[in-house]
Amino acid sequence: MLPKPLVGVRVLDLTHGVAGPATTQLMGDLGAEVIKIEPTQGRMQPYSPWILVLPGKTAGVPHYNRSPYVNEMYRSKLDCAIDLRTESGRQVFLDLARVSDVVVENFSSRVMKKFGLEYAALRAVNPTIIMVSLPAFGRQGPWRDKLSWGPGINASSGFAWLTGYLGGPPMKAGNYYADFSGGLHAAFAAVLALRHRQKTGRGQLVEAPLREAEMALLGEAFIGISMEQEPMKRLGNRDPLMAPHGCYPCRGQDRWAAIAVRTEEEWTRLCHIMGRPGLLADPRFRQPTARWAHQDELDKYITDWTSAREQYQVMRQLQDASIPCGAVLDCAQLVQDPHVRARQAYLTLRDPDLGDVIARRQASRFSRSPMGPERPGPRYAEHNTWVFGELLGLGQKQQAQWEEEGVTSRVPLQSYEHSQIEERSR
Amino acid sequence: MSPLQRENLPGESMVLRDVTVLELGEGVGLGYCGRLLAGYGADVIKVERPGAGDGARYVGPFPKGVPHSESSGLFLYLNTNKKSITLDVEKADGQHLLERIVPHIEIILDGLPPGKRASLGLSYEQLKVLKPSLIMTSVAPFGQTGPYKDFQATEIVIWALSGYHHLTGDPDREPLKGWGNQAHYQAGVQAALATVSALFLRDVTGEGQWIDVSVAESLAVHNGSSLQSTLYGGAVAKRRGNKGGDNYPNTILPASDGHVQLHFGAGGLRQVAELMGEPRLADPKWDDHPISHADELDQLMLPWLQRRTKFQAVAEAQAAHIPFVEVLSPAEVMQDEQNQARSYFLASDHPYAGRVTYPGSPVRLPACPWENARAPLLGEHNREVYVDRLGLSPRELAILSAEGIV
Repeated sequence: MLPKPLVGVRVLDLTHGVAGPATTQLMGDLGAEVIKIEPTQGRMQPYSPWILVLPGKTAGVPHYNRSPYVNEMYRSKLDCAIDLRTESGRQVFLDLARVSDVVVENFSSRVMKKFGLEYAALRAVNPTIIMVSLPAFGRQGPWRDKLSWGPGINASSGFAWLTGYLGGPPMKAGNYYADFSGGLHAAFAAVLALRHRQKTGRGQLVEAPLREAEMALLGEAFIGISMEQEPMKRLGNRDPLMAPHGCYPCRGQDRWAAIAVRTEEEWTRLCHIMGRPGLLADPRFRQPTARWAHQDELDKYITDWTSAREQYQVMRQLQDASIPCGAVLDCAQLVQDPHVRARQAYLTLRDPDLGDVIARRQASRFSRSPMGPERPGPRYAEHNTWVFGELLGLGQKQQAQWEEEGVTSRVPLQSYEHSQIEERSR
Repeated sequence: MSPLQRENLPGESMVLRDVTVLELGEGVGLGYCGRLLAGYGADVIKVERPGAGDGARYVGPFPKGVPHSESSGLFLYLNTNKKSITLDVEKADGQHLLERIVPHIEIILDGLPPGKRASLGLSYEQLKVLKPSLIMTSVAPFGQTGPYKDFQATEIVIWALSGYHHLTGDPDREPLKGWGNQAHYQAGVQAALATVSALFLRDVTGEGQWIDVSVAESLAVHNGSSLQSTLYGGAVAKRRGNKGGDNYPNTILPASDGHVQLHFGAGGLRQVAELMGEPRLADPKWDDHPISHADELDQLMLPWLQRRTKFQAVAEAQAAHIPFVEVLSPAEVMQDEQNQARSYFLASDHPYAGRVTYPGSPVRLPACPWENARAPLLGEHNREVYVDRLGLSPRELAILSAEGIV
């Protein structure tokens, strides 16, 4: 057994939303000690009044400690509350920075400066500190102050323009594509910077602009434009080269199977499986370019066959014949899928207030470093005493005084109207 | 036999310059991981099949649409800064040659199908005998274990089994796959993060390990809170087209010349009502759950948009601190002032493809330069690697070539 890769690394987490917490979630799962610093007003997540909360096992657990989203994103982290708008709060943060390795933030452009906590201030107390920033478009440039959430990044990267149904408008993928992607990139940059520091003794301010991360994943579209071969936009579930290739209806409501045929051999096997050997002789379908040109008709034959069958049945039959096919799973089916269960991709953690909660494992598994997550998300300000007392060596009196002054807090000093929180039963 | 190492150039960042990587196998994810490591200084040697080479050489795009195995845009993009050697690892002699290379390699990036790698005797445990501190990162569609590990998979099949396909597209029609190779690219970045993390640990412990990256699990990350709302909320999360979240607006609507992604600002609908001079948008009747009134709200917002180009609409909204953003085409993206100012797009000259332009690094590390050499020709570095560094004689190399081993 080896320790987790980032054991011994301390991260100060000033993130909010999705992208930043995704970065620190990855680093925490990789073994870093992540200290989440929350505002004294309350958890920045959730800030949507309609966020889901779960019933507590006992009465009286406040709603901000019953959010499954917080549980998922904040697992493996410690949690404390500091008001960075106060001079004392600012000093506490600088004291923490002195004994930390990395600071991660994804505020909009001027916030860290407003707090007096830009890189220069951090470096003054800790010359080798690594700061990781996740701006939307970049810390520099004419769009430095341009505001965007995740879907706006999909729009500005080219991804939304390229994605969509045949003949339809630009579409986004899922809900938070830019955020999780940007967060992942920032974690990569952070670890590179850590290794660089290990070798050279130097820290730096690194940035992972969400749009720059996303554009990089569209590389072949851009290189195509420079080659005067425009990318094919909005092909729906079709492919520039392969046919048949699509998403086909199966038996049941909103049940589909994705099928992709790469070679003549796969096409031949598919025709036999569908009981349509005649299609092999059909001039409309005899080679890849012909099949591509006649996809509308081709898809009808396939739809005819799939719609009489269950999606898993379609998948098994085609995979048994080595033809690429996948049942299109919804989130409920996903956690029940035999492969997902065999991989133990979703763990059950025991939360003291919520009971059993599901936590997604990360997509990379290390053979000798045990990868969690092991702990559910922390309660709000759960680790105030440890952070201020143990880590910074401050006495009880000082902590109590700060609570009185509002520099720190054990409970949010502001709260959402409880009626707005959508309570759910299991 | 001289070791396969590069001298550290004085004054250069050392972040990955001391690392030699062997990229074995195919796939966009594996290739992208190698691109990221090579960009930050690693010596990445890509192993390609003799004759045909990597499959990405045949995908395109191609200069003016004319296919050629040395000018495929996908290959050129994924393989910047890498070296190419040819080697048939399915032949016994090819495996023997591989065994001579591995002792000089710090990291193997492996994209072989799990079943195939096992049958070739190239497991991590077997390769570790040749290099005890070896780090091996394997990228496979469904990971190294489980009932689907040997499934045939393309990008859309992975979308389907990740849960993300079901969450994308309009609610009243088939799910929609996002453009390109997103699942594989996500896996590439996951693999790069995991690889440098393992390296960071090995710097202290001297010990390597094997990393198992699943492309499907890399995409499943993006299911995000839809998973929680399904598991705990009593109803399976549904795709909602361009609409997102409970607050509104959060959608894509047409302007006079294109589309705009509209998102609520800090003041929500009230702010948007003021921006558009449309007081009905501020009616409290929307407050209880704006997204459920999305169609009506869209109708109220469209007239303002239709009277403006996408650039005008966004400029006005951003001036009011409301996060509207233009939907840009890739051609527009390549020309925009932000990318120009930040020199995001880089170019290189290629003997077959000519001058090509593509994204630079997806992250910025001021103390660690990003390298931008062109992708290699097929087997371009056979001589450098086999003869100059591994110590084969030119005649041995010629014979291996003739036999199709190299």
